[in-house]
Order: sequence, then C-alpha cells, then structure tokens
Amino acid sequence: DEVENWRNTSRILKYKLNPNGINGVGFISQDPTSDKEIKVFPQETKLYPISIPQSDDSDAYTEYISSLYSIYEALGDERYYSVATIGLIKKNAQHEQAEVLNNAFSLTIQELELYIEHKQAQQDSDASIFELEECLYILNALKAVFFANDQDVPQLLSHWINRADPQPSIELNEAVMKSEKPYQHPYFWKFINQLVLRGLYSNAAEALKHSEYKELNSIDLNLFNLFTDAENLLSNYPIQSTPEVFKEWKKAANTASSNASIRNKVSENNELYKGIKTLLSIISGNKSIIFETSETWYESLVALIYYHIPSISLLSEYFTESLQHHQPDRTVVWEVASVDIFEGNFIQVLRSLSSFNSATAAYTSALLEAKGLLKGYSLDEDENGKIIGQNSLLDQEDLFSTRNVSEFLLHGHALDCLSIEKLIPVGIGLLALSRNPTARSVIAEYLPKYNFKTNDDIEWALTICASLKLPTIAHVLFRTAAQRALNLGLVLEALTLFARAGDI
Amino acid sequence: MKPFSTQHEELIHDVSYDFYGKQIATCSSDQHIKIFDLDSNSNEWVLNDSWKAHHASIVKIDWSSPEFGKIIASISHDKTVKIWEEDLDEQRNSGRRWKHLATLNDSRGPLYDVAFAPSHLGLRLSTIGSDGVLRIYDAMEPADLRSWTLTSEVSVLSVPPASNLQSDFALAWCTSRFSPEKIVVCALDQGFIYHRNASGKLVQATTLPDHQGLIRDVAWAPSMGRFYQLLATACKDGKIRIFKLTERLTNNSNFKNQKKIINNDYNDEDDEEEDNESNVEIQVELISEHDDHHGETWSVSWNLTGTILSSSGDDGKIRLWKASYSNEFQCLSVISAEQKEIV
Repeated sequence: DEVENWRNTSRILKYKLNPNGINGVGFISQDPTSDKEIKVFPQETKLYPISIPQSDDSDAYTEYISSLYSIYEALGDERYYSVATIGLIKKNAQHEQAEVLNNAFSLTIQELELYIEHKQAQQDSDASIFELEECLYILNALKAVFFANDQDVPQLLSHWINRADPQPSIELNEAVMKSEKPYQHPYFWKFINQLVLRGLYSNAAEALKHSEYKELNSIDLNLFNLFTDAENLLSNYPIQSTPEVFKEWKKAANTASSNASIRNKVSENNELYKGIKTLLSIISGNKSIIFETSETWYESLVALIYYHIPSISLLSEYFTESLQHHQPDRTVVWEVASVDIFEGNFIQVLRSLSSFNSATAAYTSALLEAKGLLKGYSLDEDENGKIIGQNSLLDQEDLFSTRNVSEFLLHGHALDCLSIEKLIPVGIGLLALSRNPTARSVIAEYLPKYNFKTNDDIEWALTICASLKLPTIAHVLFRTAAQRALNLGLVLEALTLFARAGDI
Repeated sequence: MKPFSTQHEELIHDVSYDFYGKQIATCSSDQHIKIFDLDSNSNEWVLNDSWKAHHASIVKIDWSSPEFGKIIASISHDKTVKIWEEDLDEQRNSGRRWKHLATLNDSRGPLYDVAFAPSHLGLRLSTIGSDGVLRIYDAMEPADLRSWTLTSEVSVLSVPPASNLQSDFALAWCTSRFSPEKIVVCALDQGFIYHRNASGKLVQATTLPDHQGLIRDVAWAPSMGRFYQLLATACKDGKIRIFKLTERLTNNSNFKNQKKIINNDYNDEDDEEEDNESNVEIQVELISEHDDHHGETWSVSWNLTGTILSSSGDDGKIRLWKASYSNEFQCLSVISAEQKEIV
C-alpha cells in the first residue's frame, strides 16, 4: 500500500551502480512526465548506499583471496597438465608436478580454515560461515581422493568425515566415559565402534583403557584378554606402514577375532562377549560387520580402507560397496558433492562449490585442471594448450566462450576482483596469467579505470602495459597522472607526464 | 553505509558517480548541483560543494574521463548544457569550487540526457532533448574547455514529438576501446544505434526492437572480454530488456575495402558515395526480458565489468541481475525500498 501511495504521487525509485565498485545508491526521483507539485520531505532527498549482496571487500575476504592467488601464481608452469609420455624425465616431471599440486591443495585448505576462523572470531559472524564450512568438507574429500600421497589417504579420509560429520557426539562421549563403569554402559559399544569405524583408533584405545574393563581380570579372564587384545591392537595400528607390517598386524587382529568367536558358552557376560566380538570383527576388517555397524556410506568406506586392505587401488570398490549398503543423504550438499568426487563428476563438484563461494571454486578448478581431472570437459588441446576446433576463432575472441571450465571460473573471478579495490592486483594478475588472448584486451580496458594513488601504483600499471605491449594505454595513464599532478599544483611533474604521454 | 542527506530542496533527478566511484554528483528540481567526496578514512560521503547551476530543473549530470581533468556536464529543462570544472584552489563548500566553463544552447526544447563519450574518442559530449535531435559536441582543443564545437546534429525522429504527449529520451555510449564508435539513442518508444560510417558521418546502424512504451533509461554495458556488446533498457511497458549486439564486417564492404587497398584509391568522392553504406553490420538480439517489477521500470545501470545489471521499478524494488553460464540473466538479489527505509 505504501508503495502504491507513493507511486500515485509521481514519485519513482532509481538506483545507480557504482561504475568502479561493489555498491551503488538508491534515491527517490520524480516521474519526468508528471508535472505534479510534490511536497518533499527531507528523508526523500537522501541517498541510500546499497552494496551488491554476495560481494565482499572485508579484510578477511581480501586476505583469503590474495593468499589463494599467491598459491595459484606460485604454481608456475605446473598449472598446466603435462601429458604422460614414455621416458624417465617426463615421469619424474609428472611426479614433481603431483607433489607441487598436492602441496598447493593443502595450502588452499589451510587458507580456507584460516578464513573460517577469522569469520568465526568476528562478532557479527554470518550465515556464510556455514557455506564456507561446506566448501571445506568438499575440499577435504577432494584432497583425500585426488591430491594426496597414497599412504596419507586413510588419515585424510578419516579427517574429512570427522570434520564434516563429527561422531560420536560429545554428549555420547560424556555419557559413556563419565559413567562409573564405562564398559558396562549400554551405549559403550556403539561409542567405541563408531570411533573405530571412523579411523579414530587411538581415541578408541584410550577409551578402552579408561573403561574400567581391567576389573574383568578377576571376574572373567577370557573376556579380560579379549579387551586387552582389542586395546593393544588399536594402540598399535600400523598407520602409513608397509603392506608387510599391516599384514602382520592384521594377522594378530584375525587371531583375536577368532578367539572371540569360539567363546560361545552361556555366561553372565554374554552382552560383553557379543560387543567385543563385533569390535574385533571390525578391527579385523570383516566387511559384513563393517556394513552392519556403520551408519553411513562414508563411515563404512573409512573403516574398509583402515581395516580391510588399506590400498588406494581398492578405494573405488570400497566406495561402490559402501553405497550399496548405505544411501547418501541427498539433502546434504557436501555429501552429494563427495559422492560426485568419488564418481568423478567434477563439474557437479565445482557447481556445488560455486554455489557457496565462487572464488574457492575458481582456484579449486585450476588445481583440478592442472591435475588433468577436467580433461574430458574441455575442447581438445594441442601440445601448446591451444584449443583446436572449428570454434577456435570464437574462443579466442571471448573471455567467456571458452570451453575450458577452470578458465571460465578464473576469468569470472578475475572480473569480480577488479571491482574490489584491494583485489585489483589479483584480478590483473589472473588475467595476465591467462592463456586466453582476450584477457590482454580486458587489462587494456580496465587499466585506465585503475584509481592509482601513489607513484608506485602508476609504475605498477605501466609495467603491466610494457609487459603486455599496450603503449596506447600507457599514454592514457600518463595523461591521467598528468591531470592529477596538475590538480595538485605539481606543474613540473604534470608537464613531464604530459610529455611522456606524447601530448607535448 | 548509512543513508546520507543531500540537502536538496526538491527531488533528485540524477546521481552520477565519477570514473573511480569516489565522487558523486547529484542534481535536482531545486536547480542545484551538489558534489560529494568519499572520505577514505570515515568511508562517508562529504559535501564538496553545492551551487545553483541552471534556471530550471536539472535532470541529468555526467562526468568526463579523468584524462581530461575533473569535468562535469549538466543539462536542464532550461534547454542548456553547462560544463563545469573543479577548481582545487577554491575552498570546499564555497559555492565557487566548480568553475563554469561553457554553456551550449543549441537545443530547441528541454534536454533529457547527456553523456560524455569514452575517452579514446576524445573529449566528446552527446545530448538529446524533446526536439528529438541528437547533438554531439567536441572540445577540439582539450587545453581550452571553454570552446566546444557542435560536430553532429541528427534528427532521431522523422517528426518531432508532439508537445502535448508524454515523452522521454535517453542515450548511452558504447565504452569499448576495441569497438568502433557507437551510441544508443532512445526517443519515445524507439531505440536507435548510431555509428560512424567510413566517411566519419554518424548514421543509424540499427534499432532496438520490441518496446511497447516510453523508454525510460538505457545503459550500455562495459564489454570486458566479450566479442559482443550488451545494453539494457528500462521501459514504461514494465519490462527490463537486455540486448546483445554483434558486429560483423559485411562481405560486400570487405570486397570494397580490398579493392580500395589494391587500387590505393582513397579519394573523398568515393567516400561520399558510400555515405549511406556502412561497412559494419550490427545484429541485434533480445536476449533477456523481465517484467518482475510489475509496473513501470525506471532505471538501469551496469557494474564495472558489465557482469551485473541493476534495475528499479514501480514495485519499489531494486533488482540485480547476473548472467549465468549460458548468458541468461538471472535475478541475483532483490532489495526492497521499504527495507532500506527509502519510502
């Protein structure tokens, strides 16, 4: 109604975007075709600054983006996927590239964690923290599956699920472990099994140790021995070991599990026998027990990689089997994206990331690209990375008609950066690193709009002009700097600059 | 940032940011222009100066490129264009900080829009008014901004609009450095794209189709990294429209150009003959049309990179639009005037 009344008085609403920022102003104006006399109230001649939602120029955000950019820039030539060919040198090069990319991915995750911490520390922490957390869960999964050394994968998978869906809950932990005799608590086995399934074996060993089970020594020696076996096995889990060492450990686990199975006689401690038997079955990598006791596909996946055979070559098989027993929750974005990661649907993964944070998606896509994971999504490229195909001319004319996914996302991010003062060097840097020839024209369009403040700024802009061979733009910069010097009363400097612009 | 008072005594007709977004110029029916500077420390808009600039409502204001100094142009229903330059020797808020450089009074009716051309075309200015004539002025000697030459005068409408009917006019330049000179001029319910032909004359290249009412505003998107151009209109028919313009050299003209180069034949007579033929063909495609404002739409503007469009309308809302992967514009955000206490 208020809007209706307002309209009837020939008032209209206008908005103007800042041509060089992430905001604009709204104001009330008058219908130009109306000649009504309007009695104007003071609040109607105010300007209402309104920022573009989802744009962020906060220190925490700009630091985060600058760090991600530094990681990307430092990749150097490793940002281009190198095709495997026969020959030792090429193989070594590939290995080195994998190391560089794995490190870059870890650093990216660290920066995101730092950014989340910064945001959490702020009083006015907003909903975007939850979105950043989701990004982090997705990155953790990508790291574990595609950007890790083989021996680190089980730990990284465990880290991924325990950060994304921390279980068992603190409440359960306290209820069990603070009870008088934790090993007799009705939820003791649920608690211990969940820790074990999720690769938290040392926590499980500690919990067992403090569960007061040692009193069984005088009550039921067999049961006591089974508990002790479980505690020892968990304490000595051979993480990052050679297959031989794991085999030895697994042999001991199988023996303990068998010992638990032959104790069938009816006893007062039947429930405890049942519990320890299940636990030892999980530890010995019994698939059916793992599927039975786990609650989610990712829990059983982690348990299999820890206790069945910790081999990366079986990861895909473990994933398929886990999905057969536990359906993923389709309402949870990180979970769906994680399934996409295992299935290799990287476009879907990037789409999920983009929906939360487009910048994080852009840098992630660059690492996926460098790893060769986006190969199938691009047009074929020749050895020099040039796109071959009938659309090649069109692709070179346009920053966004590229079929290269990471290029598309990085270019979009670069343009976003140009609107945020503190991120202009990042935007220009990304465009300068781009192999798309149009990126140079964007720099040429943009640089004259760069609001330089110091001589260093001008030098920086001129260096870019020189390196990209943009003499006309350099002249524009000189002329603008000359006008500025003139306004400041620096006549001599202004004359020098006009001369450099070729005006005198 | 908090809302801030302009102290205008009548409603504001236009707000214009300078090239860097650090200064704002406002104009109003109160015949005053006000300039505000963004204080980098407090991040607040501080009044730079205010002065009576015209003898009638001032309806539009625009900044030139900083390459030419701090210059603004204002237009008014008093039929004049005035050019102003900031004089840093004068005190802020003295009423004398902005020096009057020139008055251009060729229009036969109230003026509706003014815009400086992008700087690579020189210090150039265009106006459109109720006489339906597009006028282009050039400062032939940028050192002397008091002297402006009327270099083009084009009747946009075959018949001047009837004074008893509602009318509206708007214009915007193509800002791309890598695209030949072009300007869009809207008169009543029609949009026209003008460009310079081979002999340097401003000629109509194409039109913007589909408008069913007065065009209230037009904005040409910066075309960073795109091989095509985008522009948007706000129309009385309730729609925001986004057009895609693609330029192609015509085969015919290619042939002619080649022939000219082979014969090394550049005499003026030949150029005169080709006045009515352009060597560039512009294809216009309506790529997006939105009636979300459920009423008249009043303003459109683009961000720095031409990736976000803003619109406002009679629903009292500001909408922000962003292109998706497939170049479809989707609503990014809706800002209610009531939420922001504009009403």
